[in-house]
Amino acid sequence: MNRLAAAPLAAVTLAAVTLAAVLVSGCGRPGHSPAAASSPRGGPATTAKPHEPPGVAGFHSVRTYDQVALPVRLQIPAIDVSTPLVKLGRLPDGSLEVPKAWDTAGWYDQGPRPGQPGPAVILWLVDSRTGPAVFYQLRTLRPGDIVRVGLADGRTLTFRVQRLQRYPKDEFPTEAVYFPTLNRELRLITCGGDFDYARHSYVDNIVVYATLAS
Amino acid sequence: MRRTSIGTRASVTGGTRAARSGRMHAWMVAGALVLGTCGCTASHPARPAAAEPSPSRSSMAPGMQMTPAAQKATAVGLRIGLEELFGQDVFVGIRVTRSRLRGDPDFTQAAVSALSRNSDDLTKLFAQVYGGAQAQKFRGLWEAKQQSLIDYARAVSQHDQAAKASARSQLDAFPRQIAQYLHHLTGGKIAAGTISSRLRTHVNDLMDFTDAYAARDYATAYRIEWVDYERQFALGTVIAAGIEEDRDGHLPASFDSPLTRLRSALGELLGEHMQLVVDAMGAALRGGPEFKADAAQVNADTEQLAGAFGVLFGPQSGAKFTSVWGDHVDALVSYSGAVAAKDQKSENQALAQLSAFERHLSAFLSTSTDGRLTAPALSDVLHMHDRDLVEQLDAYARGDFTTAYNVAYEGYQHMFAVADTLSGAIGPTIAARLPKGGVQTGGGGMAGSV
Repeated sequence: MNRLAAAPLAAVTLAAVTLAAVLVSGCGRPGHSPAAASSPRGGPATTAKPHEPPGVAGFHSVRTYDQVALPVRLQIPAIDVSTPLVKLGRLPDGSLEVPKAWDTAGWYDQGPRPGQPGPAVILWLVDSRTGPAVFYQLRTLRPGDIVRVGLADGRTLTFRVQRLQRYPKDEFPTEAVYFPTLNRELRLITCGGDFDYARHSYVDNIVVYATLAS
Repeated sequence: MRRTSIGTRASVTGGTRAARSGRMHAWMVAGALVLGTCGCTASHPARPAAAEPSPSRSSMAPGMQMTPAAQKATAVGLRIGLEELFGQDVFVGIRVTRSRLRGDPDFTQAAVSALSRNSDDLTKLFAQVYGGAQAQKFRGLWEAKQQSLIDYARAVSQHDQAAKASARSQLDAFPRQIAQYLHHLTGGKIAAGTISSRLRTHVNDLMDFTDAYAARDYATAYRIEWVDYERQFALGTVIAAGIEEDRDGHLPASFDSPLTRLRSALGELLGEHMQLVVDAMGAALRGGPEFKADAAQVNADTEQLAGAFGVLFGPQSGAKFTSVWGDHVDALVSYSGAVAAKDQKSENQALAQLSAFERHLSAFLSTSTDGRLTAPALSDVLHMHDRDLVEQLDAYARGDFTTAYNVAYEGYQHMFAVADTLSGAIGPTIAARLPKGGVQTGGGGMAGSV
């Protein structure tokens, strides 16, 4: 779960639920002894409090969880990439939408955001009809290379490349790439391999797997 | 009164071997029932046949509870088992430390028994792979670490600097010894340096925990415990991978499949929830000054669980989960306070709130998984979890620490069966919603050079 890396993430209230108040009602009635007094062997450390233990009456379980700000920028120093990020959805056939502009990358906004548990997905074109796009050099990344994602709240997350895989598009391992395993990871995807002129499509996809470092 | 009200759906009283075996059997059957109406069991790596008899806990290593024959752990079973047990060692060992620092001999004795049971289970798992003689070597090394940590805690509690230095020296030697043992055991597949480094961090964590707890810096102490649990859980993954690798360094596909990783992650969080809530309830019961720090870690675990469900099913589901799960935690703390105050009415209120939680979460999960999890059976599974927590607290309150530890011990391991059940239903649900196929991210302008 990489909780060390996740520690700086900000907590944002998602639901202001106030049911907890009733759950602790009725506790701490005067005249009742603490539990330690009921232990025949005197095991738990005894305290002389006439009421319930301190802190219990005021306890309320958390009703929020870490939410990460929207990703707004991608930087990959090893291949001199720095680009804003746009939101991407899905096409009618169920595949991922692709950035419309050759000079802008996009992230799949129906999956995890970068920094959340699970694999966040960023797509970019490898080339246009006339020349290279910025993910043209994606295939040259190596394990250990750094990928940075800037967030809307001004923070920057750092991911480290673990490996690079090339898959034929007709054998694309959907679950390996997209399944939310709860590890804080990033997938960078573009095209590669031979170009099928009849279908006007590269035959492969290149996927870079990266994990959150800080 | 309270046992009757919490135990109406299953006649488990806790404390006896027969009862514990019965509880395990109930968990297994419940797991089968929860998934009984869907076809998602076939793809799962280690799910039991519903009619398979349940081996007793005493003859069964963790990670194998879902394997019908229980002869030898599968690669996934070994991974889950080692993650589970190395993680459990952290919490159980720290309970020994805490009781030693508090100067509580009865409590310490029960905690040491639980720690020994964890070593038994680890040894059984190694024995299934490498035989009894090799497993006993592991046990000797592992228990030397545990004894050194007990010595360290005793030295700290007695302000004995010489004894403290001696224990530290023993602990300094442990990482290299066990790393070399594992390196040779696996024919070099496990890198001694990697294991040694991880274990050095582990023993440093535990000594730091001892120092912080003795200094009553509970926030620091429990933060260390939280992080060390994650580290040791991951150690289980690393060791299992080293054992299961073939000569070319390849692992079975199922070992690190997306579904296995989801199962592992849910087990880590749910197991942690069990351990942290046990400690928070105990602190609430005895008025322990560490309650606030305990509760903070419970909340941290809840946030991570909610984040997980938010990713799996969307932000609204994450918020809903947090609300329902928060009811669960609040009710358990409330129950502990009520027992401490001998307030029967409040105890009953808390138990009623737990029942409501069981209904609400089972309905939520059934809906979230498109009916793959059946709500009534899932409610029973959640009830067993609540019952474990209530029973261990009741036993603790009457000074029956052995029963308290046994119920808590098995309650932790049961959470991995729950994780197995949940991942078995969530996996197919999520898989059906994933994007389809590859992406069209090229125009062809650089064809021939891509």
